Amino acid sequence: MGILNKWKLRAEMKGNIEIVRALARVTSVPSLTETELAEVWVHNRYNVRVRARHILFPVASNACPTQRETLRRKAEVIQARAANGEDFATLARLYGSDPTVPHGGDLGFFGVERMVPSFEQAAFALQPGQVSPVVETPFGYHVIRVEERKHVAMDDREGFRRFLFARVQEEAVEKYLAHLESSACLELQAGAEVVLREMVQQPVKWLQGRAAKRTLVRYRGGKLTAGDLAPVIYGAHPEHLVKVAIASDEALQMILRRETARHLLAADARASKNRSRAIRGNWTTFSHNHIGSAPGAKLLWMADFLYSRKSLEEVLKPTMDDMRVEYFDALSQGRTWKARWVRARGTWAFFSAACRMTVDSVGKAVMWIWRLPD
Amino acid sequence: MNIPKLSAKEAEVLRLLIAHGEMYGLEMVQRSTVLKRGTVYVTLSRMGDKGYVESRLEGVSPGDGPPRRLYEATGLGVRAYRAMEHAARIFSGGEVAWGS
Repeated sequence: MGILNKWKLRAEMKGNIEIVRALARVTSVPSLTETELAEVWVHNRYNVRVRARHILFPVASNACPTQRETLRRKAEVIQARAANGEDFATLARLYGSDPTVPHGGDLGFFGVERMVPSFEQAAFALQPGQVSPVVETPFGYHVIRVEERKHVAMDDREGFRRFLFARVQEEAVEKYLAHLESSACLELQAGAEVVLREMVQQPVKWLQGRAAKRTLVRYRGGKLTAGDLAPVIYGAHPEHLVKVAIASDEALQMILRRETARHLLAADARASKNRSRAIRGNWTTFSHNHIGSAPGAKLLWMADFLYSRKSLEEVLKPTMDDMRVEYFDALSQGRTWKARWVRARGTWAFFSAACRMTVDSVGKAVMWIWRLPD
Repeated sequence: MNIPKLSAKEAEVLRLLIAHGEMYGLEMVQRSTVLKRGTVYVTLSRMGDKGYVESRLEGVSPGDGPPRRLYEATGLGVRAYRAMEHAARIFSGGEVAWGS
C-alpha cells in the first residue's frame, strides 16, 4: 500500500470514528419506569395479536396504470363476495397467489410491526369475522379477514426495553440525518445516479484523477465527489451492491442523499470537535427520556470478567435475578421505596456472595498449595 | 472413612427441600430465618459439588422474570440429613439442633 493510500485509509478511519461519536451524541438514552414500560406495551398495541387470512392480487413493479386498475377491480369483486359471507379460505385458495394459498390465505398470529404499514393498519382495525376493503401495499392488492384477536402479556421485559432503546436510537439518527439533509440544501448533479450505478458495478478502493473529482452532490459549503464515495462502495457487502445496481433512479437518488448526509455528519463532527449537539429521540408520548439498564447489569458485567462461568451461573447471576424479581414486583405494586430497599439489599447480597466466592477460591488455592509434596 | 458433613445452613437447605420438594433459592430464603440472600446460592453451589442437591433450570420463563433454577435434594443429601438428624437426637436428647 502506497503512502498516499495509507494516509487516505487513516483519514477514512478517523472519519468513521468521528461519525460514531457524532451518532452517539444524537442518540439519547431513554429510560422508562416499569409502569411506563407497561403503558408503552399497551398504548402501541404490542400486546395485541391478530390471526388473519388474506387474498393477494400481486402487482408487477412495471405494471401500467390500466393493469393496476384491472387488478383492483378484480380484488373489489372478490372483496364483495367475501363480505357477503362466502367462505374466505375457499376464495383465497381460488384467487390468491402467494405461499399462504394452500392454507386458505392463513397468515397465523402476528403482532404490530410485522406487516407493511397499510396492511397492519387494516388488519388491526378489524374485529374477528370482519373483511377489510381492498388494501394496497407494495406487493399488490389485498383483501383481509381477521379470524381471531387476542391479548398477550409482556413476557420479556428486558428484551422489550432493549427493543425500544434500539428503536429510539434508530429514529434519532434518522431524524438527525434528515435534519442535516434539509439544512444543507443538497443538490444532486445531473447523471449522478448513472455514475453511482457504474461505481457499484465495478467497485474500486480509490479513484484517481478526474474520476475521483467528479461531483455527485453539491451542498451548502461543500460537495460529495465520486472519490469520497468509492471507499464506501468498496467496503459494502456484495449483496447490497447487487441490490443497488438494479435499483431505480429514485432509490439511487435517495442513497446519494443519505450518503451525503453521512459525509456531512463526518464534516460536522470534525468541525464541532465533540461539541454537544444532541437531538432527542422522537419520544413524544412519554415524559421520561432515559432507558436504564436492568438493575445490577454493570455488576454482573464486571463479575463476568472476575469470576468463573460456574460461579457466575450458579451463584452471582441467581442472586441478581432474585433481586430483580423482588425489585420488579415492588415496582409493579407502585412501592418505589420498597423497590429501592430491595435493590440496595440485593446489591449487598451480591457483594456478600462475591466475597464468599473469593474467600472460597483463595481457601481452595491455599489448601492445594499446602498439600503439594515438598 | 469419608463421613458426610453438614453445616447448619446445609442442614437447613436439606430440611426445606425434604419438606417442600423442589424449590427456588429465593423461596428457601423467604421460608427460612437461617438462610440469607447473599449466602443461599454459595451454600447451594457447595452442596451441588458435594452431591447433596441437584438443580435444573425451569423450562419456561414464568412470565415475570428470567428462568430460575430449581433445587432438589439427592438421595445422598436425604441420607446425610437423616443421619445428622439421628445423631442430633442422640446428642441433644431428641431435639434437632440445626437450623432451628
